[in-house]
Amino acid sequence: MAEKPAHEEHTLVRRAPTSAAELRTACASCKLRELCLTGMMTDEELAGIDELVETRRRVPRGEVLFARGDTFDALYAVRTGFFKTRIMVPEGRDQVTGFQMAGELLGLDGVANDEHEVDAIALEDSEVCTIPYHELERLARVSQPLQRQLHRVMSREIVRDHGVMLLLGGMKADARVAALLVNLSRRFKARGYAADQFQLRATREEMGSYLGLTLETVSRAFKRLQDSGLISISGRETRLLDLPRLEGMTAPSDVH
Amino acid sequence: MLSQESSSITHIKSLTALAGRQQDPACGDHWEVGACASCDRRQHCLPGDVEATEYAALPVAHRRIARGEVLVHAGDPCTTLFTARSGWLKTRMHDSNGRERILDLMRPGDALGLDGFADGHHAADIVALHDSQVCALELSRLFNNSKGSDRLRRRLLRLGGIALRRQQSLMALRVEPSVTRRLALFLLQQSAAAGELGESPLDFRLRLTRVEIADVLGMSAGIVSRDLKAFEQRGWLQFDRQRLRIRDRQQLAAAV
Repeated sequence: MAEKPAHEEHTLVRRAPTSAAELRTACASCKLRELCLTGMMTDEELAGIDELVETRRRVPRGEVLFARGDTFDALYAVRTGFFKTRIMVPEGRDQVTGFQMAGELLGLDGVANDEHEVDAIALEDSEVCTIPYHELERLARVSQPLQRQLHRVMSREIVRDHGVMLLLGGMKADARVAALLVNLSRRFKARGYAADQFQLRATREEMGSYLGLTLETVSRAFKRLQDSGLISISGRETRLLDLPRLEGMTAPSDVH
Repeated sequence: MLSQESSSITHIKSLTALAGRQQDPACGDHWEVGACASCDRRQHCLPGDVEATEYAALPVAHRRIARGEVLVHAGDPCTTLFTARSGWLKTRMHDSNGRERILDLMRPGDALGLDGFADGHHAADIVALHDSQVCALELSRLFNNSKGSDRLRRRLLRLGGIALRRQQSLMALRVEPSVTRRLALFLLQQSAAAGELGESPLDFRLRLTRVEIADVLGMSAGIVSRDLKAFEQRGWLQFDRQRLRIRDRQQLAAAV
């Protein structure tokens, strides 16, 4: 039935920003900038928008950064940590739409309607930069590179969604799980972390929701991947023992 | 005025060159000059709430595109903003088995091919699902014009946000494990979209074949037919000649 499920694991606690704990920082000096909003902008172009100052904010594990229905007034760049976004399908239940890590943006879902469409929840203690959207827009007036960059960022998100759509269209359960692990591995690697060993912050239920699989199916897929010696798991620590074979699995097969 | 007119012609020539790869005799691949100000779709499209004076100088070309015709090929440079003027178009990619995967559905007023902003090249094909009309605006000109108009700039970004939102709601459908629920959700989504475009949400054109619906939803055409038939037998809806009449919205919603 069309009932909104209780948010059992993540309580809807929102913290009012406390100014004392907040730091102000600039994109120009950030080591994540290549991956983030200002990626692809040259130093020169960046100098033009050095007024773009964000406020840093800590988001403890389980805290809701923004919830659907909230007024959209800022984008958030993840500095450290791990988030999930989830959407409520009309008349349906929650579905996880993405996992975000350092250097990735949250909040673009609000651009369409000035209102957030998704909830963003920290899956571990995290830190974000708050980038006021009105300020961004104001700066985009004088900086065409920034304006184009905003479009690029949005477009990148669309391209990423295309990838997920392809994945969901043509892959069996094991391949979907492998694809998610390979995807996370690549993203960790791009951030200078180990590609074959990471902490999986998402629960199997959350991964299943993202991949269109039931909890049981995800668990069975994980077990099969373990039994075949492709991955090993202890606690949240996940090791990819045979990355090339995992990558090989992610070529879509003709199901249906 | 003369210079503006001649630049419109150059603009259209360049568009014709871009789109000329798929010449269709029925359409003649013939671009005509138009104006947003006189278009009855403008409120749902790029102009939105922007004052007519702020986009009056933008040359717009439009043309017909026949069912099955490819407007944009993956890999094409992205120099143009296309929008759907009438009809229905799809974004598609082929998976590694060569099977077509529908990634997005675009209706009148929707921007097409925003995936190309990410790196300047389109990532996917855009194909007409039906005889349709599309409009084209030169991107560089659009960006230049938007320098002087806060509203136009904001509207441009918003188009990206809308595309992203549409993509996410399709994605959320794909991950619904029950195919019957998936189909019911899709029909309800289409009902809402029809309502937004001024059609009756309970009686509207759903110009997709069962096979196309199956492709969009990542399920088999046989199951789409089976479930549609079951919905019809229960008196919830009628789907005939690409027209969907919802007789019992409550029951249909309860099915999800």
